[in-house]
Amino acid sequence: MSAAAPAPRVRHADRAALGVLAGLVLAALLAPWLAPHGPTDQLDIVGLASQPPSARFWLGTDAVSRDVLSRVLHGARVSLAVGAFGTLVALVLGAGIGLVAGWSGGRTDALLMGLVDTGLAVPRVLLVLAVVAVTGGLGTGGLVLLLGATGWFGIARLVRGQVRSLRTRAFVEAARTMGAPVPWIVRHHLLPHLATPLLVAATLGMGQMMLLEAGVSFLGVGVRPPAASWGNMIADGRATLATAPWVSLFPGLAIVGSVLALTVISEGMRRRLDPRETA
Amino acid sequence: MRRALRAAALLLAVATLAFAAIHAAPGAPFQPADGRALDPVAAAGLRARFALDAPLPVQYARWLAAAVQGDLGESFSRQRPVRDVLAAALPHSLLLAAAALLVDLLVGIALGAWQAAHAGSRGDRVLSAFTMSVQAVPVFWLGLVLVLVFAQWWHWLPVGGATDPVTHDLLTAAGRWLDRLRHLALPALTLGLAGAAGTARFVRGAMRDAWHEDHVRTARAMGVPERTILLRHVLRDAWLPLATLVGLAIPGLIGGAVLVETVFSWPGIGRVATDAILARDHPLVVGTALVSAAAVVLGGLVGDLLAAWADPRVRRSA
Repeated sequence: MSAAAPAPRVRHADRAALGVLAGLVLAALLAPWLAPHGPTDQLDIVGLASQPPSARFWLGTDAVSRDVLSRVLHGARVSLAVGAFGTLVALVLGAGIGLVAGWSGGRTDALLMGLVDTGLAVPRVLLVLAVVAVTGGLGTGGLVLLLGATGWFGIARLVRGQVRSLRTRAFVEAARTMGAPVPWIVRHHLLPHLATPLLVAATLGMGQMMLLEAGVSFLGVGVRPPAASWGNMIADGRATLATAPWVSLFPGLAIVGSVLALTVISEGMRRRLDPRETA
Repeated sequence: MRRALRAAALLLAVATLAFAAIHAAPGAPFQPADGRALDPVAAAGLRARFALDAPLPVQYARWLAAAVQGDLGESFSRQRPVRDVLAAALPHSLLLAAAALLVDLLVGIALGAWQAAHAGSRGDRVLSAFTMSVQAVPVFWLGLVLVLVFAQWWHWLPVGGATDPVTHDLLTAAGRWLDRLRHLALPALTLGLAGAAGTARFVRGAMRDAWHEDHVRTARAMGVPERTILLRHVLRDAWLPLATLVGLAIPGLIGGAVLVETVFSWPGIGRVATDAILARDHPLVVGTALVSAAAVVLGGLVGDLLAAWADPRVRRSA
């Protein structure tokens, strides 16, 4: 694909991205201790509403006098967790279905890949919206499952392709000739080869998952208020965009930071693992 | 012919799925939002009016027969034929999509081509970092930031809507065009820039790949000017994967449009779909699902045709 940029600078960016991600994860884990206020505390709805960023409120307050910094920190827990667990669900589904399709070939393969093509062609936002409409609203757990269930298509295609080529490799054929059971081959020959491309895809996928969560939460069908997710915080701030833009700006920056960090890390891993790129 | 059959099958599948899913949903249409019970007599009347008391297979068969003739039923929430609602929204969506695609391709190809020609330079690296960052930005948040800067702070452009609600009808023909363009600018820019980042990365990659092709090396060895090589050979080679990209961009464009139309109160299909889903307006949901599916299928078709046109081997055999 793209030619590699000079090596030292790349490592620099990778390290920065890892640092950003580690910081965000720490912030999410330690949110209850780091945050100066509770995420839903309305400090003084008359006197402290829509305060601009200051020494007292680093990121300002929103229209009902909640501390934006505290909400961004607590939102990190929701947004990162939804992204991570949603990706995990997608990974398990995609790897499983890709393995079945790639290994069995023939009709099963054609059917499953037809499903994957259809899934990839449908805008995910609409798919998620439709399911939310059908189920009449979801909890955060349900949302994670839903994001995972609509996010495995690309991973399945990746795994299927890898499995099709691994299947014809000598060590796999040898194992089959010797009568090794399929689960054994999957565990000892296929999964080790799949691990790295899956890790790269999952890192990138987690960023996409977080963007999607933000989008559906913004539309009001994802993470429900008063729980803070970065997406629904942006929606919250929309009404006061002209007078208190910081309410929408900071959670948006948090999303950009995390997704960018994940993308850079994924790119860095891919570059390091792809021998053509290092040449 | 096979393609057309597959497309029709896909549309039917989408329609059937949407129909089945929406009827399997808990909750009923006509339910007052505040949770009050609906008067049973009135409910029965409404159900009879919209033929909801027939058995499901009968409803499905009726709906399908009507749909083939272009009749998609009546929207519960807007009390207008679904066809009219969609017909009113579709031009707005097409306008937004076309404008966004234009921004996407113009900016994306320009950036990508420049980067490919200056690969490894400082400018290339800065632009790579920039396009990667843009891809990490939620499209609706990008829209809000643009609204904040261009509409709220500088008052250059309107905040949302497709036309000015007060003055539009009073304007001259030219004034109306300008009014439309001013309303279109921000949503198209938002949606287009979000796509342009991906396009730029793609074009850069495709052109770098083409750079190392034999015929490019030959041309260079023969002393053809770098500029001619770039335009006549490299960009030409990159055109083929780009044509496929246009088809693939359509689902993203539709998905992004749902969010962007909400941010800018743009009266297109995306907003109709969101509203219909939230209002449990079954016929309208199925209608918007069909339109989106048709757009996706058509997008793929257009991408294939462009690819065929860009590829002399296919063009000659076709």
